Amino acid sequence: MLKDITLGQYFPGKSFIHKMDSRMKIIITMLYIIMLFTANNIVSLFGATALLFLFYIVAKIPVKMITKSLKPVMPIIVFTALLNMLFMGGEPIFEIDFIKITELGILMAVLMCVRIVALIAGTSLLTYTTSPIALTDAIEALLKPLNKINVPVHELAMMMTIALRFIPTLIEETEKIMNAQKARGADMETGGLMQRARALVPILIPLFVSAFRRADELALAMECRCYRGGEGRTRMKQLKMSSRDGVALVFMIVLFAAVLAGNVQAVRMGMPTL
Amino acid sequence: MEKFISANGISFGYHSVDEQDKLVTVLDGLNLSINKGEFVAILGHNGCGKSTLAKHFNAVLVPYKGDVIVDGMNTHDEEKIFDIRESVGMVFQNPDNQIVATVVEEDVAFGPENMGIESDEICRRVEQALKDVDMYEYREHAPHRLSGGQKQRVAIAGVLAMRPKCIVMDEPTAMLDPKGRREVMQTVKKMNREHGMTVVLITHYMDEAAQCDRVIVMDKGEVLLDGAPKEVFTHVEMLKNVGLDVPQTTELCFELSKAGVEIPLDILEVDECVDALSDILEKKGVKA
Repeated sequence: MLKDITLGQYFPGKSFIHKMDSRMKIIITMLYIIMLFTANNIVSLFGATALLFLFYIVAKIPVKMITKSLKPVMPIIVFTALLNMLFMGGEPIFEIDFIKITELGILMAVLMCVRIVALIAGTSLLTYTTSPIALTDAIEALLKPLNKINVPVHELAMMMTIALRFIPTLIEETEKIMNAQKARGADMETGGLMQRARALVPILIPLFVSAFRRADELALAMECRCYRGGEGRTRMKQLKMSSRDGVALVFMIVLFAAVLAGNVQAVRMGMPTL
Repeated sequence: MEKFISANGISFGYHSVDEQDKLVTVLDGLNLSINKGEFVAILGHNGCGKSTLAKHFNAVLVPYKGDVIVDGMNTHDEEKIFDIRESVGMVFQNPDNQIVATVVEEDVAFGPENMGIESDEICRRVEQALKDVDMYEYREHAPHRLSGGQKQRVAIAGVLAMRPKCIVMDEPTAMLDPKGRREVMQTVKKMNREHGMTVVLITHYMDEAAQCDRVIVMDKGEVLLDGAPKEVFTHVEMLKNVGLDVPQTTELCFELSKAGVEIPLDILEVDECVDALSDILEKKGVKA
């Protein structure tokens, strides 16, 4: 069903990673991204990738989900690999005209691909194991310091929550409007690109009108429920760090140190680096 | 009985957009009071000002003339606005447009969170409110997966969790199917009977109004009729004149009496009507 788009990302579960505090999950994901970009040789990078598989196994997320999340970025990966392969110096092992493929080029292309794949899979794991609400709460909590420089953090988080809440509602509405317009003879399946784009106008206009009406009613309902911004507001579910989160952070820091040590060692041994 | 809400000679109007800011009067010097613990239905034709009146009960709108006093607080007093909204909760027609969060229990917690209540207390209130509307099993569901009646009950729970003294409902069943309507009405009646909550129900379903303690009929921004359902529905012609229907049993009795049959006019329930009709038939010597 089209309705379940937003919720399709999240796999409810009870694993170690699911139970972690969402703030810590964001911090660790950030650390992991930095780690991927510091790991510049075969050993460190493959270590970091192996770590990712470990995470997926602990979280009990089917590994085939990685391929699913990679699909949309496939062109970027291929493009990066080609660039790295073609424009890297060194002894050519294969040469036609201006195309020179070197051993170093192939190695670099592989490393770069591994890095991007791990990057996508790592960040996807965050959304697979964290519900959208927990994610918005965590973002709100982590950005709280920005309040001091007048960034409306609470309002941004509220907007995100409402957006998530209304995606399925508006999708349902779009389907209804499409059917209504089709019943009136609107043609949406045939014609060129321009014609199809033009056919969307009679769908978008009613959709926007109704979205504004909904926004108006929602604002009224929120006011009736005493909403007055983030000040003085409490939360039902408070984010709590547990020992679990400490363990995860220490584990991550140790691995980060290992990757850095691996980098130093690689340079010393003269291994090719990115 | 103690007055909970009283409207003293309130007037209100909107500025028309089409006709160069002409003031369109919606409420015109209306007087009304609602007692504590009452279950009141407000009936009226579209555009008679019943929704506008409802919005005066929790200070969403303030009258430009006259005063609305809610539980001793005047809605003109801006410092009291949130106290008034805490004691008068409001439920609207479209359940989709009043649910804020993506999980049922988070949404029910929205009101208490805004009131700055401790998180343990919020959890207790959410649990209680969801049990009161029989939606506790659905606490972790996403609202868009629920039926209309269920969504409206979640919206009611969201108001109940704020522990208001009164609930004002603006056509809460208008968008629901018959099953959803029944569910919502049962919940509302339970809140009134068991918890002594004051309920103001705006509706255009006569059978819902017939279940209330008191019916107020509005027309052109004024109160036309005010009394117990049995009494109000005897004014069949007056109600028809302002574009309203009466419950089917009442209409049947009215037509029969017009045709010369002696039958009481204040019958609302189907069983009651059947009894009255069989009495008449027996008197005439027809075996029932």
